[in-house]
Amino acid sequence: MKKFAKFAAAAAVALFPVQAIADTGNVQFGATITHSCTIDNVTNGSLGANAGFNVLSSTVGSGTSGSARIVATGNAFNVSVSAPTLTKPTSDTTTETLASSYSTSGATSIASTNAVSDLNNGTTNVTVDMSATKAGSDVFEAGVYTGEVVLTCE
Amino acid sequence: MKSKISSKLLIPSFLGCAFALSLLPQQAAAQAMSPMRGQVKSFSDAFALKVYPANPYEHRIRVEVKVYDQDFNPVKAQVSPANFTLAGRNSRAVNVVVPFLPGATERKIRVCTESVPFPGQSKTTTNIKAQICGKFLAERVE
Repeated sequence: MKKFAKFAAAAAVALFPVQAIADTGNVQFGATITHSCTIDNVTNGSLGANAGFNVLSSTVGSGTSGSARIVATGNAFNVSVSAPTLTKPTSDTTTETLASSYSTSGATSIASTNAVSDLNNGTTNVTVDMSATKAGSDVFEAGVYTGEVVLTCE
Repeated sequence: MKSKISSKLLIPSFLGCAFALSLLPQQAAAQAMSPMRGQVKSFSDAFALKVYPANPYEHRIRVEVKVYDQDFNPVKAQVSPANFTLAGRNSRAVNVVVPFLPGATERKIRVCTESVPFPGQSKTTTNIKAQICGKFLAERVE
């Protein structure tokens, strides 16, 4: 009986299917990235006044620069800022000179400028500043002032 | 008894929500758009484009699509829809129809996606408006 059992076990092992050749298969993953520019992480800034109250600027006193991040998935894009606009109280009737500028770091490094600049492929951090300056003896009157700068990627 | 329990639960909930809202980042809207370059041919007096503004954030943003010429002067065009809100991580098609100028055989335009801050969102004194512009050349085929 024991012999029969050993024989049966040996026969079972011998008859067990053996995979002689292993096969391989390729699993593919595809993605398409569009040629585009994204502006995100936009943080507004604030304007500070100088001691003479004839300059409002994001780089003066308590003023803070605005910032944003630009992600370009290719070359041939450029970055620029518009001339700023300023909303002011109606009591302020004198004119002011407005200016805006930006600087970048990261994939594209640009020192402070207001000109159109080429963007490199990658992530670029942008710092945006603006200022408003009264001429002569004019000053900014009491009230709320709001400036706006358009940051463009094209 | 029930109202006492619910009021005990509600007050901390409201405080929690208010605290959470106060911690939300004061960010302006972002922009993305595709395609950003294109060339179209048209047999008629106008040409049509389709662009896809996208919202890269998790929260919804308000978007405005405008058409400009090469010098950023506004161009009269039919934009549909021109002003809408976009859910987070979403994009949608916008159709733009622009007429050729009389006698012109081509026209270069910019189609720009601009952010529109929600009312009362901005409490600072400088706003940065994000603008993504695609450049397109249209040719009139006789």
